[in-house]
Amino acid sequence: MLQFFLRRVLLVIPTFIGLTLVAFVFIHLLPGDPITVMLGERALDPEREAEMRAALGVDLPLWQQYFRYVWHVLQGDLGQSFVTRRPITSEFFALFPATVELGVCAMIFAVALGVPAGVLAAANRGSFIDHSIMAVSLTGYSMPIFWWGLLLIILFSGILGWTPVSGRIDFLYFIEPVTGFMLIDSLLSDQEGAFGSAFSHLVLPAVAVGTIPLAVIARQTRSAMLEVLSEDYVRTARAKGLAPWRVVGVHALRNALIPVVTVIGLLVGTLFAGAILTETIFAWPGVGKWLVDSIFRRDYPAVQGGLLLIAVVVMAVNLVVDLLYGLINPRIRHVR
Amino acid sequence: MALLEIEDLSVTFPTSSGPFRAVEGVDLAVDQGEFLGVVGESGSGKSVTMLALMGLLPPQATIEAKRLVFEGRDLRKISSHDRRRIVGREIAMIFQEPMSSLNPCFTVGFQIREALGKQGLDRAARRRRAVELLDEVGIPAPEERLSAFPHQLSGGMSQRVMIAMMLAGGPRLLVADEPTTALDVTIQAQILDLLRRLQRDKGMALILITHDMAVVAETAERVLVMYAGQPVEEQAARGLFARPRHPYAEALLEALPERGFGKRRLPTIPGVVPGALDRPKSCVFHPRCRYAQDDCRTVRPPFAPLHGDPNVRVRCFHPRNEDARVAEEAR
Ligand SMILES: Nc1ncnc2c1ncn2[C@@H]1O[C@H](COP(=O)(O)OP(=O)(O)OP(=O)(O)O)[C@@H](O)[C@H]1O
Ligand SMILES: [Mg+2]
Repeated sequence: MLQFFLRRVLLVIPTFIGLTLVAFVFIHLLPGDPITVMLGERALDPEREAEMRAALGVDLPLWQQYFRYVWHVLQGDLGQSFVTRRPITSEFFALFPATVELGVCAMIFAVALGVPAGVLAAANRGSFIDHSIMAVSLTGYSMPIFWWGLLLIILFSGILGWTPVSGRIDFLYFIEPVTGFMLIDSLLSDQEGAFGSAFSHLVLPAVAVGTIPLAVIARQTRSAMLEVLSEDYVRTARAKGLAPWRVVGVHALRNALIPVVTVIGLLVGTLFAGAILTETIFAWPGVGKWLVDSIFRRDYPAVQGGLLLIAVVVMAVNLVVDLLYGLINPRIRHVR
Repeated sequence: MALLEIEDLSVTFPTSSGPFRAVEGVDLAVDQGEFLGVVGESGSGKSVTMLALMGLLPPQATIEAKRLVFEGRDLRKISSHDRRRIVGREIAMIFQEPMSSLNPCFTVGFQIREALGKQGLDRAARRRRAVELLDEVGIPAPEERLSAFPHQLSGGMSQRVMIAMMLAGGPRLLVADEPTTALDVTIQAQILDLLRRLQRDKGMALILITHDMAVVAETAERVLVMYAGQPVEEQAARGLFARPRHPYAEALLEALPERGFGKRRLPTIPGVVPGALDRPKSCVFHPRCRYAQDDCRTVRPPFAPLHGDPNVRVRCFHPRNEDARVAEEAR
């Protein structure tokens, strides 16, 4: 287990190098150097410009610039936003909880529906239930998020008027950010109706973000269950006279979850991609919307830093999921 | 009254080339505490027969039987809930691949305690009982084994755990489907000894499925020989080895190395077991039978008591070793 753990942790290093390289190249592929971009149309006297170049290290050879960049990144310095002049990291982490809240709720939605749907489909293989679940899941998977998000808004906010259209909570409430998670903060604030408002703001975006993961999880659960249900140990469980729900829901599912957990880890990237679009549609003040806004504002350091941070988060979550995989799979756990 | 009575059992699987009768015309009775051996080549329907009894066949399989009775209860009529009260407690089964028959995600202790589930024991009592069971099947340091995962056990150990787990419900009948095929020869003997000891000590009936005639010769009281989905001969083990009646049983015995001793070459049975689709409508063995006559090629012989003796049943128009009987009667 320790060896598995170490090997997996060491794998982070090359991934990180790759990430920083991509982020670094990204900014250097842009026409002109950052100074030119920063100055825009404004003219500056050449002396002052050279000074700025030296300060930013733009006059150094590329490889030195790269190491300088990595050195800064390792210290948590991703530069400043062109627009606000605030450090990228503080901008990012101020908005990050909103995205995490959205992502976590989307994932809870996806797992809570996807796993039972997959189990149900597998247990009734080839039946009407199976075909319906798989058809719905394929539809969900193929649905473009922005379109799906708009459909949800039109139906639930427009026609039915059940949910608000945008934001995290009603303007009536002023919520002191304690954890940064609106659901929790609204509960802590003790204001009547605040939690309900936060929840109703969250539902639609979470469903929009969670739909593709839901479809993927349902399919993965189904195929893992089908494989597992024909295993000898499932026959043993039935030979013990256990009730069908126990055979399927305990003996088979416990084994089927191993590949499903891996897929859930891989879906974190999908989740961010979904969040970027969804936050924009629902005006959800998270890092996804911020990233899109930064792109429109041509705030290159923000885009570069934001992408790098998102990539690091995805990488970290994948690391945790892989370690979790080791924990839920006894065959890996007990390899020294 | 017999513990288990099966009459005219057949199992049909749907296949892409039409329905396939994997098993047909199986008649079988097992008494309390009896040791029955079931032999036959691969594909002869031994496992399918027993899985049908246990209700463990996939749902697309069609099971038909005139009688399927365990201790006076008709297994075809009771609800699946009641059937689960019988399967796993009164009838237990162990399988050919012990390593894959245990759930890799749960500890040995969990899997045994689970089998003790509905006996109204508290946690501590269940744990104690699990240790007793492991001890009973000859597992050293049973306390420590409780927290082991299946992949930490050898094949022999896994099979012992399987046996312990299946003993949890105090079964009246244990079905062992080739329990030693996947194991080393030395371990095979140990597991067989264990099964025989348990059968005797607990007065439990045992059905042992095997390819190995030699194993049957050493252990079983009665033997059922199966061929291409049908029982072809059934009699006391002693009788079968002294005087096999069905040509197939005779050929199986001749194929034993001990019996072939002195001959230059081991006799084998010419031809192959008919596949799913080329099973003759008449006697299933006739294409490979040295003694086949016209009637064998046209009519299926019934599985009937031989000369009115209910203890010897043969599915053959021209049973072997008749002379010996004549000689015996003359004496
Ligand atoms: N689920 C199934 N679907 C279709 N055919 C099946 C199924 N299970 C078993 N069979 C067929 O039934 C026949 C009898 O199989 P069975 O497993 O009972 O043989 P066996 O006597 O136990 O052989 P072995 O000694 O190899 O275990 C085989 O021809 C097999 O292919
Ligand atoms: Mg078999």
